[in-house]
Amino acid sequence: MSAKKRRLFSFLTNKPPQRYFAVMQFCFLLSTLVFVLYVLFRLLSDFSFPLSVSELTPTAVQLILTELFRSISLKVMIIFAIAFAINVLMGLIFYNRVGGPLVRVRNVLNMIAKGELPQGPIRFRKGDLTTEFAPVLNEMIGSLRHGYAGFPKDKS
Amino acid sequence: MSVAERRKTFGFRAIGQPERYFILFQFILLMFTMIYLLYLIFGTINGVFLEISKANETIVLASVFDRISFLLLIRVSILFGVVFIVNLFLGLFYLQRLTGPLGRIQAVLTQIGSGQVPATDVMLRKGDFPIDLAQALARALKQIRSWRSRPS
Repeated sequence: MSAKKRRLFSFLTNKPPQRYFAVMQFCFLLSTLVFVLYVLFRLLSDFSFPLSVSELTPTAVQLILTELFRSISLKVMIIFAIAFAINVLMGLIFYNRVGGPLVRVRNVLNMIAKGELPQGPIRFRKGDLTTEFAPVLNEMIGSLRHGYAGFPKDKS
Repeated sequence: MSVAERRKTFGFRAIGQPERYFILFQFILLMFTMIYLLYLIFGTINGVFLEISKANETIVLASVFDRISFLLLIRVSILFGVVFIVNLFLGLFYLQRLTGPLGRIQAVLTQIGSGQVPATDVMLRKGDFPIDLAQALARALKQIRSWRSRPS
């Protein structure tokens, strides 16, 4: 079972974790876009409304623009800081759903390595994304339990 | 081990190497997006005002801001579309390093389940994440081989 060379576009697969990630990122970026546009238009409206009827000199326009840029910078930075925090939180929850079952698989393999077997079937938590391991692992444990001589006792 | 454990409320807080990579990657991507977004907004606003000043017209802010709003809507939407595509590609590439080797590990477990024990261990590709899982499988395989070699 030697390591194969990584194919260039092998990462473009349509499996539950990939679909979940794509939908999560789409929703996240769409919400951020809508919120950024809302804040931008609100700011532009705030700056234009009281002055819309007046005619302005270039110096006055420069002053308005400086104030507008400062306001936009501050609000965009705040939005992106919040967006980053939300995305990291969502990403960690997502990773927990992908990686959580792998920790359980690793624990079962470590038990086998110590010469013990888990008692009963392996089940993953509701919402886990790599659940295809559960039936495979249960089949393997069943096979080990009945297959070999001098087998160890079940361990709970 | 038999009963499915309940998900812990803050179970996701355990930070390993994949999580650190994800946080760093999202930080860099959002930082670049924010910088480019600000550059785009300022460039658009300045560009519209420059056009008007060149045309030597009297400035009426309401119409100017309408034009700016329209340009920003188009440009910011395109930027976010591009960011989504980049984020998706990089994210899926990152995810592949985590889930890609699982197929190989699953194949070995299926093989053991059907009564065969592979002669060699699973080798992960450079950059793959579940190294600890592959190591645990190698140790388990060693134990299974020793059980197999015992006389019945």
